[in-house]
Amino acid sequence: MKRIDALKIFAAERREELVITGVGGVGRQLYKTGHKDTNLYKVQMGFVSPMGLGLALALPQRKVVVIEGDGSALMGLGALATIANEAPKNLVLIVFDNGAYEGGGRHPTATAGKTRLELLAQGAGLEKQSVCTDLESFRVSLKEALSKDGPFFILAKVVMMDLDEDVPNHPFDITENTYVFMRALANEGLVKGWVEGVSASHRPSSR
Amino acid sequence: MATLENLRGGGVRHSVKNAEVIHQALKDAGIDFVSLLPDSYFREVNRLLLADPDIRTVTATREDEGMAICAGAYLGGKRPCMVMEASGYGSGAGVLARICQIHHTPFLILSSHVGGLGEMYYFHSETRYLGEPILRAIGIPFVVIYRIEDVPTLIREAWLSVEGQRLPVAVMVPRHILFEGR
Repeated sequence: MKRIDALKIFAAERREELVITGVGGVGRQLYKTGHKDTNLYKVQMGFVSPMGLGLALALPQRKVVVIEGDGSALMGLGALATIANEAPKNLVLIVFDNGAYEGGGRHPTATAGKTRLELLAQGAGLEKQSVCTDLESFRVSLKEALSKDGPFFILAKVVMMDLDEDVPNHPFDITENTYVFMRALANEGLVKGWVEGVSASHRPSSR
Repeated sequence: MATLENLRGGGVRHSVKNAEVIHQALKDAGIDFVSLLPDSYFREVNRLLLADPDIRTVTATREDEGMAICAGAYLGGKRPCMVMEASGYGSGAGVLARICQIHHTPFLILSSHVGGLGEMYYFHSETRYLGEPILRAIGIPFVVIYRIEDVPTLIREAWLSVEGQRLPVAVMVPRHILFEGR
């Protein structure tokens, strides 16, 4: 299964979900296949899931989808335990496992060896999970995760990108992406808008 | 009167009164979301936070993970605070530099000790000494609370800086504030 084909399915099935991705090709491919202002890209490896957890807990009325690679997931294994115990119904974790630090020279990750992320997730307590090795099983798992209460853990086994695959970088920087993301949340009424500096509602005298 | 011996042993007690002051100051500053990693210094503060129905608390497995949780909560409109041992600045430096400074997703940090006076255990001090240099290196403002009377003002002002500058701000609390028997 190619990750970009799975992301095309994600883009087709996705509705109003907020999305946070890790660094590397996964975010660039999502930008190419299904960009929205409610996509936050290039979150630091190991911290995509916890950032998604914080967002999901803050906005329980909206689904949050975390998309990261196996290298990032391995770097933040503790977060699986935290997520399992906090159990936000609106959180979906999608790990694209290609068994490599693809952006770091295609060096193999632990999942290319003996490590099985789905077993680590299961041991952490994430009970609703699936392992997808083809596009159809990914579509089925994704539709279930987007429509039912979670948290869900979807491990999608994918191959590495073709060496000549052209996936341009985002035409904006991380800071700009974050402000656009926050503005989109404000426009949808999920958070209060803000003004430059401290908003009036945050001043102690207004309490 | 406390002696050095009972400070080291069972004679030392957490100051419930000061913990209540800190807890109330966080509430008055508008903090409604806390991620924490238990620390003996903050035992009473954490007890109050965990029992507070107005504050969503999340116990993280690492300080950097808790910081990322706070950053996500900030995106979702919360006013988050990371409560941790000062050694957490070591593991959290990457998140503070990357997620907070580049994404502009800040939060308040309430940490114990300051790498200064009062630490009685050498195996704690080396990691706690990292705090201030790391914060200076990243450019994150911090303040040390020396008098309990200053807590409401400093926590309130620290949060205003978080909100206004979109930077994390660290409030560091030494031993003598959190324990009785100084």
